[in-house]
Amino acid sequence: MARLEVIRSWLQTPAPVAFDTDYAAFAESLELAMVELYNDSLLKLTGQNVATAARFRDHHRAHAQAYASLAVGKAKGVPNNTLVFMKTPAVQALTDESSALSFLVALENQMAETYAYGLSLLTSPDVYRRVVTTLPVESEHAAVLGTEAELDAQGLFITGPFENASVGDGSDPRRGFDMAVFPVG
Amino acid sequence: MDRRRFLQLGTAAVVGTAVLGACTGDKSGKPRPGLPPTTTSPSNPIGAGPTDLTLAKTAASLEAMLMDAYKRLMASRIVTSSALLAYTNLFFDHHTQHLAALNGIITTTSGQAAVSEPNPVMQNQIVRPALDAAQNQDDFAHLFFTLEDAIAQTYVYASTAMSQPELRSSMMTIGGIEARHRALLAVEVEQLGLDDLFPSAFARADDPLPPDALLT
Repeated sequence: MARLEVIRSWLQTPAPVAFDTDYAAFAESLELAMVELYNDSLLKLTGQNVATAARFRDHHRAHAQAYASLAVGKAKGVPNNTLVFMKTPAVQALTDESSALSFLVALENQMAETYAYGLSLLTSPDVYRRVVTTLPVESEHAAVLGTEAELDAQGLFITGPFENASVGDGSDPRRGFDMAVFPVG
Repeated sequence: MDRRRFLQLGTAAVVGTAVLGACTGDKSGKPRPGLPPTTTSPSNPIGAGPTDLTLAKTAASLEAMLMDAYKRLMASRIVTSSALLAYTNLFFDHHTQHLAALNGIITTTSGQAAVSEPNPVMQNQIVRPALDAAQNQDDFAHLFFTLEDAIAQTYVYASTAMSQPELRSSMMTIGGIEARHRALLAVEVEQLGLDDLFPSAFARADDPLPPDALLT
């Protein structure tokens, strides 16, 4: 019976719409860019912060794999070039551990904002459910790293009592990454 | 013990038994600009799941519950942890604004009044006895971490069950902040390690509440 329920549930789940599979591919590319940016930033960290950042990097890798599986062949398996290109000068300018932690906090905040906005558009259950379960983990990454960076309340809650559900060109840490500005690939 | 199981089994496993006064939820119910109206249509296309309105009202009642609990914490003289005290006012303010935002959603449905009372099942079966039983700072810290953990997971559960994209987004603009509360209490007050804080790369999406805690 349980097996029949699984089959019935599968038959009743609508196929994801094209926009949502595009979004999954976009999310995969962002998550892979996060993996790369974490790897670059790790060089500036020491002690326990290395282990913490490595754990979070691995989360992003797991997120990327999950989104790739939802992208129905659209995932490219490569980091988002625009995001990496935009953020690389900032990584190279990191002078110390504190600046590296703050840089990662800002990225995590923007990922949470990206997903909060994406949820207002997505209609395919498999895709939006994955986004819903990813967003709070990005928020928690920001919080944990923020404590290591010794941020005050303003820094820990950069958008106040709500995550911002808006996106932009990546320059404003209070807005996430716009699909149109950060194309897959 | 699994913290979520604590909520479904009752209080005794964590802190025992004890009091919480009357609820003082925010009755202003001012909507946050841009929040979409709720819908009374079933969130589950098969018709088996709770409605969007049920989920929004339940979340609102949990916000009222946490506001009340934080007020109790502020009034207590047991807690001296600077980290916990520092977060108490801030989180209380967040929960106040979350409740107002949720009431903005709820009251767009004809005939629906704003929610101002704590969730009765959670309040009576878990929070009130746990606060009464709390003997020391560790008890309070553990209780508040558990409550923030539960409300964060409730938003994830509710967002996966809601029928409208705008509602899912609005709920997670709150859920992400609850997750931050959870993480900050875990790291700075509960001193949890990463394995406990992140048992997985993804947040859990099952309903963490007792079966009768949903408000209809």
